[in-house]
Amino acid sequence: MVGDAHEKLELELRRGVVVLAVLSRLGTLRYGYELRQSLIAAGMPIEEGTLYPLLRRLESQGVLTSEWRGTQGPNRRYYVLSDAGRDLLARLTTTWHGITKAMDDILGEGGRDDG
Amino acid sequence: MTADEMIDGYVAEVVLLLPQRQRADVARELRDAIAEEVSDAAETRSARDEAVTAVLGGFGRPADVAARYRAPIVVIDPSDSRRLFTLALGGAALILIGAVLGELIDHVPPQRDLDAAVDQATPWLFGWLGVLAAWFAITAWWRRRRPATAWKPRPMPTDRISRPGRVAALVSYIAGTVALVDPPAMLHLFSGGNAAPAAYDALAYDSDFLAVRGPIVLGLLVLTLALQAVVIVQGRLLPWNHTTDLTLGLILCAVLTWVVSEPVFVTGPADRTAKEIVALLILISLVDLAFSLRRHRVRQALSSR
Repeated sequence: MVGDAHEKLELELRRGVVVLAVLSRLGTLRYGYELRQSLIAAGMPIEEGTLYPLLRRLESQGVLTSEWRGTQGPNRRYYVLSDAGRDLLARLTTTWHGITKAMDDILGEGGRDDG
Repeated sequence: MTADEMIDGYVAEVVLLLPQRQRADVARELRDAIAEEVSDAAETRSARDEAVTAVLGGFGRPADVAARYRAPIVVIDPSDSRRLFTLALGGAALILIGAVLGELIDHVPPQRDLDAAVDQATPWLFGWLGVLAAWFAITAWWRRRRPATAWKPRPMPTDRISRPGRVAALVSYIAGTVALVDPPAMLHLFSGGNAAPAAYDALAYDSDFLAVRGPIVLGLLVLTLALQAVVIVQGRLLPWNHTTDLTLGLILCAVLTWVVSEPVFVTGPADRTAKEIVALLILISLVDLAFSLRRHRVRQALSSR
């Protein structure tokens, strides 16, 4: 039971940060597969079935722009942050730092309570 | 099926669930992405088919993938699910009980067929579920259009009672019970003795009812009235009142169901009308008991601080 709960809660935690992780990697043009490999290498694996729909949703929200390109190989859809996306990334990054600082403090207090 | 056919089949299932304008673009990107994942996975697997199966498994169900391309359409708010479930079950139970009561009133053995009555109630069950689904869907849509402002407090269920209200109710219940004991006498009283003889005949009780069922019903009604009087004296509801009210209410409903299953009045029209009124009272009582039980549970939860 606890094992199940851990898996579900970890998944929820990851879901919460996956948008920020994706945005952080799209300062330059990347296509889906390349982006996924980049996130895996950074320790943030994301399911294929989640990534591609997410990219499209972010594009439809005006956060990303995309284009088909195939100058140095097969034709692929490349994504990059729009101006609004850069602004959003900056704001979410600030929020993230606030959250991590708060969580560090809270978890630190928890550790002291245990002691 | 070849590996490419599997990929095409998977992509087709995803894009079929997407809007027309998105399909070609998503199909192209998805097929390319799967192909790249497969070529990556094929390095560690002996057969390409195996790699395709593994990659498609990683993508997940096509319907789930398609759903992620758009903001989900919420027909019924998750916060309404429990209430919807409760109302669906409660309403279904009432419909089935109503169908059984209807059959008990309509037919006498051996023509009585309760199974057929329950079967005939099936369209009503689906109708009820449809009405509920439509109602909750409209509510959810309206809530999204006009998000609620602040929460407004409502009166909490309490154990206190309104003595004047209870006294008035008790008096009317007693009058009703007296009227039931001797309906022709009541008719005489209200009509001033001018009612037609047929009216008096219509209100004559069946002899079997008077011998067994009538006294039992009267005993239960008197017991109910006595308990109401005790509550008025107490000035509030005590835990034992809830238990006895619920138990007595359920027993009364069961006895009344038995009552309508056999003749009550001698004449057919009066018998049928009376039974239909009793059946309606049974259904209303069951709803009332369910709400009383709910209010009692809430009170219990609040008092467990």
